[in-house]
Amino acid sequence: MHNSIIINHICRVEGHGGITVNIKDGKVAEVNMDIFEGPRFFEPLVVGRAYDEVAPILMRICAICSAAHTAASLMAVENAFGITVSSQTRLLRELLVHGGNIESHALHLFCLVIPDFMNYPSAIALASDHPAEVKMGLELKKLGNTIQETIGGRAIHSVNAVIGGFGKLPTKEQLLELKEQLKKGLKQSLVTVDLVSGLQVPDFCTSPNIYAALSSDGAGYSLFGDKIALSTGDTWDINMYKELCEEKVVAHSHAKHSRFNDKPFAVGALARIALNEEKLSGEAKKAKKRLGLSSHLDNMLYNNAAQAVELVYSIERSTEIIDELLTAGIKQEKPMEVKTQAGTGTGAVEAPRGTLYHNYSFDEKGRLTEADVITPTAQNLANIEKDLRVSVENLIDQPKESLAPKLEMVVRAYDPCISCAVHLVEVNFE
Amino acid sequence: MSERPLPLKGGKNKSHRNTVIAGVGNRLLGDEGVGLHVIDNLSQIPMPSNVDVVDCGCDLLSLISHLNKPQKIIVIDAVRAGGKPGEIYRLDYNELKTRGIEMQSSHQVRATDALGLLKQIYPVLAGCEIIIIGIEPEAIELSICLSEKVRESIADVVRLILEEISCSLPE
Repeated sequence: MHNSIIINHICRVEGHGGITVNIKDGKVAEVNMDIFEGPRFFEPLVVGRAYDEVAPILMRICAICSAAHTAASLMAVENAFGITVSSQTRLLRELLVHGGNIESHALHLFCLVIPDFMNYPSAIALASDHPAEVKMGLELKKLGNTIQETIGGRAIHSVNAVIGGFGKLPTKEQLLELKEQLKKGLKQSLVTVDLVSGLQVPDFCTSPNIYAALSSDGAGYSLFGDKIALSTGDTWDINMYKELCEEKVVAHSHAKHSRFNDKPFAVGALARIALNEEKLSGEAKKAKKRLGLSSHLDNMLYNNAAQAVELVYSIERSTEIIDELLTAGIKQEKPMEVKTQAGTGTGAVEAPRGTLYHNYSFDEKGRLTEADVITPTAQNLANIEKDLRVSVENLIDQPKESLAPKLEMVVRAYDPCISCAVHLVEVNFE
Repeated sequence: MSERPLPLKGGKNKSHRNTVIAGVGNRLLGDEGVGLHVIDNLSQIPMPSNVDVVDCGCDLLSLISHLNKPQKIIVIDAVRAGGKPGEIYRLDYNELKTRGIEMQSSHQVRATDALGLLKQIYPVLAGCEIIIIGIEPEAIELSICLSEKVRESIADVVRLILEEISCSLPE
């Protein structure tokens, strides 16, 4: 009988050990998960700082999600001061976020998921047998970086996106060049869908899920929205995010858990598609059908397939945005003027891994007094635990050598910020 | 290493090799971000056109946007190798495993894995020299500041890198 399974993560932050699953009598007794995120975790870095210093610091929480952190941070500051940005700024910001989505999904699929599903120990091992496919994955990641570099001024950690607008605007020639690269990227993303469609998705972690994602009033699928929609039918304003993400201390875990009505919920690509599938169009809609995704899926291993669909979507939407910008012509706008006032604002964006919230309070001089950043990984923890419990119950008779990698697949499907960590698995027998 | 002040101006380049200098790390985790602090310093020094200085954040794979037939790649990162805080290591990528030093990372793809993958996929890197300049961290915790010993090591790291690219220091 398996007594303890430790999914260690190699983490430089001392005292944070990853995920440990303890099993007793064939059932999960406890799941301990350590992540260095949570309510107000990042607050000490920014408290007392001026409003325009916050985004350049907090965008660095994650290099892969820096575009989403940038957008959420800027929106939180703007909402606190009552600033409304232009439609051009909204489009450029959206394009920046799509660059991040393309980069992140390509990296996750080709460097972590596809090696997992094809039984390769790493992307390097996969590349020795399938170099063309891995190179294509890296080119897709590069496309995401190029979008961020063109719009944000740097491949990661944008310098152009500022409060109220953009410091430096892309030229028509740059946008046309980007559009050409997106054409090639679309073909590559469709090949990716082909690849993912050939992967066998096991069902050992299937169990009912509650999904949550941002919802917009627009007709199209979007990574932005003023409301939070849940698969239960509930809808909330984003300013109410704390009620959804209210984190509770649970006796069997080190980490606090986000729960809705005392039930875990999932955010991320699969949640977005489950809640907004009818809004997909074009090749992304076809890809969704090809990969068998629907709102009824209760298997988080399909989150990988959902990322492949979103890869197509983000490339198609990026092309649409460029067309809109070119049709309207790039206006040489200056960022909106900032008039500081005491207030609180929330910014929310669908980051690659799920809904990301930034919430700040400022005094009348524009000094930050409180900050709260809730990442998708923090919201997903309780659902990861639920899926690990179900998986262990379904796989308990398997030898530890095959059980541990399957549990890693479950964790990795969520694309958590600790995914780099779940390479080492230790299983102890009594 | 010496205590000479940072050379922030000038610098006569004698290098004829395409070189990429890449800093990697997370600035919000104290000494984990030392590689990026070194990049900040290098960015203030005029570099020849065949030398790219790149802030990779914690994603070394973003190097793919800078692989214009490089003959040398220099990666700067925090490396735990059991030395004293601020101690500087110069490692040849190909010797990493034989020296038993593992670059531990909270990054999405570990730095060594990223280099291995890039080398495997891009034939242009076949003959490329890859050097890792590691700095032993002291405190890896939520902070945007470096610890004193690590901060003091930056001048020596910068000097070492300038020597790597055969860039002479200003008089």
